[in-house]
Amino acid sequence: MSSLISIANKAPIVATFDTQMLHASVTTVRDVYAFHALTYVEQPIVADLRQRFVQAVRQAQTPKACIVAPFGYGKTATAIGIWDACQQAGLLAVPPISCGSFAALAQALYDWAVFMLPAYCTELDDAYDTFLTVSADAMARRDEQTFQIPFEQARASIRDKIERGYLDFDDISVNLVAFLELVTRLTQRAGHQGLVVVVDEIQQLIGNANKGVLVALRQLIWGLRTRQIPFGIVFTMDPDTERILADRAGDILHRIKDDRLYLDMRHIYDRDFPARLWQQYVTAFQLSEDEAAAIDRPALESLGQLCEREDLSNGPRTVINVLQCVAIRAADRMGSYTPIDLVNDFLNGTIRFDGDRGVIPALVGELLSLPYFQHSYPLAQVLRLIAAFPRGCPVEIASRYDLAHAWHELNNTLRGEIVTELEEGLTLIELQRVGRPAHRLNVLLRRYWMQITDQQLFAETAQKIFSSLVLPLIFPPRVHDLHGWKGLDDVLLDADDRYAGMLEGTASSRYPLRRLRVVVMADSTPAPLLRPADDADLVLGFRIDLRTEAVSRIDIVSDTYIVFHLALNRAADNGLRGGLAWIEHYLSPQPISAAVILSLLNYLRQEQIDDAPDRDRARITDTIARLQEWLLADLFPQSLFSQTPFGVLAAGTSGLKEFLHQIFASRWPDYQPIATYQHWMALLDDYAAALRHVAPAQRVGSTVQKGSKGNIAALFRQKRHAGFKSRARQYGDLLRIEQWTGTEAAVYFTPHPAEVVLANRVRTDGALTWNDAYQSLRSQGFAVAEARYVLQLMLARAIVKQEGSLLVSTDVPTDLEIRTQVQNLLERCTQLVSVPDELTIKLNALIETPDQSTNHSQLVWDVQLIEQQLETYETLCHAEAEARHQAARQRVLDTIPRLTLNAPDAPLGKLQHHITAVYRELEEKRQKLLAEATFLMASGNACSPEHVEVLVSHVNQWDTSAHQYGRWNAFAPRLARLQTAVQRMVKGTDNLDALSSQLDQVLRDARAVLSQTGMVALGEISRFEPVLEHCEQVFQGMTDERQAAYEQIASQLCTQIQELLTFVNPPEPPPYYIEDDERSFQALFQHLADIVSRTIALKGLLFVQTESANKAHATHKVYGKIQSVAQQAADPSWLFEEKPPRLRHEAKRSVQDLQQQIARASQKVSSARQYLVRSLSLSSAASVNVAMILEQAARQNESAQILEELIQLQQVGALSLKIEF
Amino acid sequence: MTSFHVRHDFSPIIARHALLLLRMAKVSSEEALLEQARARDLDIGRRQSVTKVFASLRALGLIEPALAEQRGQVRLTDLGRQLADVAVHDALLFAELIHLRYWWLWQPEQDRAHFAWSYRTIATILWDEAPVTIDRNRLVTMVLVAAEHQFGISGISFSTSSVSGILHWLRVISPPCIIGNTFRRRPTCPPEALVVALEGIATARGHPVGTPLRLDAATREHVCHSTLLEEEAMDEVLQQAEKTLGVIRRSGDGGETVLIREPLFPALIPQMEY
Repeated sequence: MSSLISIANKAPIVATFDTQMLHASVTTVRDVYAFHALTYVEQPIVADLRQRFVQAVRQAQTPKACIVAPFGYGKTATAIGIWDACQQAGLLAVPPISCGSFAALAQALYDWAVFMLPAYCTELDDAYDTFLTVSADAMARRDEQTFQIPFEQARASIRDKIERGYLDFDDISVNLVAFLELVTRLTQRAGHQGLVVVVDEIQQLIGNANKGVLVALRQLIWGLRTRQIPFGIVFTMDPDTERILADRAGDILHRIKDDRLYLDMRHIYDRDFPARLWQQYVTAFQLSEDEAAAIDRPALESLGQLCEREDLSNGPRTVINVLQCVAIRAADRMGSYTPIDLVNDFLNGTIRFDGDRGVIPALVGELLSLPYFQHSYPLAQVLRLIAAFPRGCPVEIASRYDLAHAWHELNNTLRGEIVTELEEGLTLIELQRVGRPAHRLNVLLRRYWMQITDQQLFAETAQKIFSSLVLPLIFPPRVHDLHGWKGLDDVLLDADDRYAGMLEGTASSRYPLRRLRVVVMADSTPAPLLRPADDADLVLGFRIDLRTEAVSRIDIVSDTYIVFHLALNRAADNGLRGGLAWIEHYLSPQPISAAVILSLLNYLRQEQIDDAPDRDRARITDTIARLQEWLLADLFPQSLFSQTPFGVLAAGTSGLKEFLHQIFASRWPDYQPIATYQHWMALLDDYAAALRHVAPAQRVGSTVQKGSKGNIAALFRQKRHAGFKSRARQYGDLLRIEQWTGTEAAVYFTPHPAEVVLANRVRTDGALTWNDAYQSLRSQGFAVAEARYVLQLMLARAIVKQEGSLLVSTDVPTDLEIRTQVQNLLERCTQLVSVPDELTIKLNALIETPDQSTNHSQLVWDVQLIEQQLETYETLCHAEAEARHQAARQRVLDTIPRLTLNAPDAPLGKLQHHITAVYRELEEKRQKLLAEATFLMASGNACSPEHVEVLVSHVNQWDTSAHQYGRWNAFAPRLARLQTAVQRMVKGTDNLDALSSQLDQVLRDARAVLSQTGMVALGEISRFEPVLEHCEQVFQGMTDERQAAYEQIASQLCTQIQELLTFVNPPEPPPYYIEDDERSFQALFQHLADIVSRTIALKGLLFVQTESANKAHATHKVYGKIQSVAQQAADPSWLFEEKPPRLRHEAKRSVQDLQQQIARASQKVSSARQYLVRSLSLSSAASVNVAMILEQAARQNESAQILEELIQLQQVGALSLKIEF
Repeated sequence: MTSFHVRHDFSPIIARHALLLLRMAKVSSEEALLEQARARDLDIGRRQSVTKVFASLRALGLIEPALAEQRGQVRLTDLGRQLADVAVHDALLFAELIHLRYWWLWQPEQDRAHFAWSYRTIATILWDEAPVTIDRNRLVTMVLVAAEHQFGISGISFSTSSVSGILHWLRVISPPCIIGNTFRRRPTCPPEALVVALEGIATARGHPVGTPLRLDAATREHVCHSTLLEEEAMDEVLQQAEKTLGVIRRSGDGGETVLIREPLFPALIPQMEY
């Protein structure tokens, strides 16, 4: 039995070794793989691939083979098989290993080659060392260039990492190819016909398939393609990796496929595989005859049928797993393994690889749980047997296990719905990929049939199922108050083992909103008590009698308690009748009874049919509807009611409705519902609202309520009178339309008779508790909600009033009380801003000369009416005040953002002080207004519209001033600039003189205005602006004069600069822009300032040290001074005065002082440098022609030194040289 | 020429209640019927008068024709009694049978019951075009055109309310053929309906009940028209009818035949008059 134990221990999945394991123990890897190779069963298609591969290696075609399969499909086993075959074919084959890098691959090859070819150890060492060294060198050189890491240091680190397989890079595969080539050559020398490397699970090598890895792989494959050596490589990969490669590196995949050694193993396992594998085991492990019979032929056949189906098994993994079970059983001497054992192993989970979805265990488990199979061992066994054969189990196989009879029985009973007969035999329909039965209903019925038991039908669950299935049919869910029932979800199991709950709804519109306490109980359960708290109209008991001889009947125990004794198990006289009779076949041999149908409906309810095709779903739904119809007719036949005084016309729900209606009618003969429309509550709410706005006499219908149609409709909260007439009809007797013609309307409000009865009782008794009144109404037949509405109508009609929990008669106030009330109303009038005169006149009339002819109740009503009107006015007044207040606050809010002010522009010329003074004044005012606004915002009701108006007015004034100030702010600089420009020009022409004097006059007037009247004068800006504009136009027209003035000033300034900096020639001024005088002068000043600054900075070259290799630097203290003055000189305002335009004295002095310091300090500077700087300083241009300087220097035989100076200064970045051709 | 209009106020619930009330021995007049209906809070009891209901029942042959000397007296016909008996316990089958009565009542050879022709025409149009959204105005137009073609009469009395009178019945049969506002052929139907349809076809062809009927394409389509059934579903319903209603189906060299041994609802299919 030791061989069987070997099989039992054989893992369904062969694990792959990695390179580290190979490195650590080559012999272990070899031995383990050799063991697997011993029991490896080669599929024909793999054998073909293997033969072609070996041949290609021998013929030095450098072949590349690839095997693709999901996890567990025998990739590694196949790789081991190929490895073993290669060895036997005289090739040196490295065992299948998974490697994480190309370096690791090289390591594995090295390890195996050293193991196999110990005589060539030195050459192998050299070759491997070369591989490592070359690879490490390339990487180290790169690191040295990029990161300045010393080469030796980098190489040592990299070599170590490569050696340990931690590092891969682009070029490594190139080196690997060279290594492979070398080893192949050694292999041949050692007498082998070639070298083979098997890389298992290439996904380990590719990793996340980044660019570097793919480049390396590509180089390896390309490299091999260009070699003609007896070397071959085999890859295995899973479909995911194949997909990734196809997406990211399709070219690599295509190159691998080019060799036509590419195999997808997903579909190569046929139904004969298990038998072949078992035979291989028998041979490899030299099993005895008994051991070889550990599994019978049918079991191998059924295993083959499962193995070829991906949805039912995991292919070879399942096969190996099953054969392990077989070996274990055989080792325990448990007899030959049969297909039934196979299914049992699926069911009890012994077979782990069951297709991931566990179709067989789920399906067989479900069927076996049905009583049909539980009651018959042969049937259960034959079910297991046929479940093992998806292609069909022939009767001959069943006979072998003495199950032929059961096979036939199953075929006769369940064929079509559960089982089907295929060419090869009987099988389960659910195991078929296609051709499942179209009639889901039939399948459901058949399944139901299989689960019927003799003890059925739900003795224990009868009440529950009745409650959940029948109650919703006889009390359909609520649609609105007058249709359907609510509370079905609250029918729950109580402590007395009954299903009980309160339903409220409408069966008969004449008796709406009944409260029914429904109790479903077993026949033996004690009768329920009607608890007062239930406030139910009727208790309906349903006693479930499950005796087959029982007869249904109705007990009318009292007018509030009726019991239906329902004989559920009694056989129906006519069965299912007509079109439903075909279902009886599926219920046979059960006699048709309500219980059976209820049980069937309960079964069908639990089945999920959402995924069924539309047609199936429609059939099922229709059948359920018809079965429900049948069930209700059977439970509540016409004959059931005929035993009572309340016969009905129809069976089922409509019969029950008729019955209940007659019960109610006999109990409450005088009851008139007020819930007559589905929106009756809303209607009555409107009615009650109308009552509150009409006089007492009209509320009770003593007098008619007249008014326009609109007014009458408005009483009932209707915005339009169109349609009101038909709406009024919905009130029935409560509202009668007397007139509805033209624009006039008149209606009568009439109390409901129940109101009148109750009011009389209150008047007679003096008082009535609310609860008594409510109970009284309930006893008359009013529903709970109706009773409450009747009481509300009575209060709204004021025929009674409520004091605490009591209803009492309405009191009538005395004359004195009325007079006092009128006085109060007058007082309230005085507190309102405006009250219509009509109101005060009426009140005064009432208090001074009460109309004796008016009856007392009318007087009370008049006062009430006036009070209502007054309340309306008060509300209006308050609303208006609030609205005004809110509007005022909003105005303040809107105002605040306007209170912003910009500071004066500076400098503003001769108006600066005046403008600044105005600014301060405006700012002060702004702060004051802001404070005022903030106060108003925070002061709540104090923010009166009047205050706000004052504030807004002030803000408006301020805003105008601020706007004018802004204009002054712009005016002042314009005036100043124009004056300056005019002053630059040469006086003497009439036009210029006139313009100059006009500008002087404007300035004087402006200062006078601003000085004398301050902020008030701001408005005068409108007078000054046109004058200034005119002056600007005149100035703009004086083009010749302006240009002449510019050229003269420019010339003067250039001469001053030439003198200051000792230029040979004065610098060239920029041209004059006719259209913009101001800009011209700014450009001139800036241009000259740049020249001065640059020239001064140039002097710094004297002190630049050129000894440093990298950077210019100067240590002399004058150098700092030069830099400082050069920086200052770059600012025209530092260098020049504006009026008149000339060099500033201070600036001139600074420059001159500097020049003297430079002269003193430069004595130690080389003559060449001095010459160079001097020559460069002679020109004001930004660039200097060095050739000229050198030419001049040549005359003094100093050109070489000058050039050297130039180059050194250029090298240290102090200047830049430019060569032009 | 009788009316083409199908009364829209003759709804399934009214028809059922009317027949159930007339089934009672004590109801033999309009007044008695209304009184009983109100005592049971039946919908029909809310009508002021049931004259029109009686007219519809009479037109369908469910109550005896009014005779001058028996004004106010009402009596169910044999067919009316059969249908009333069904109505007692099976509202679904009752609706199915009324639909079939409408469908089969008109016969080309008899110049009467034109409202039944309208019914059949609408049902056939819908079946032919299924699945189709119901457009009442278009249906009216199609009926007017068909009437002109069939009878040479233009401007027959047929309106959208007539369509409503038809749709009442199409809506309540089960499984439904109208879902929302879309008409679809039914995936199944009661086997009784199929048997009645076969009987109707046999009668229309002049074959007495009990004579085998060839189950050719025309017959199949005719059956499906009247039962509003999908053609593919017919065999399954026929199978149920074989199992439960005594229908015999035979296959031979001459094709399939089907035989009904006796009418399920005698008089539901009007007999040919020669």
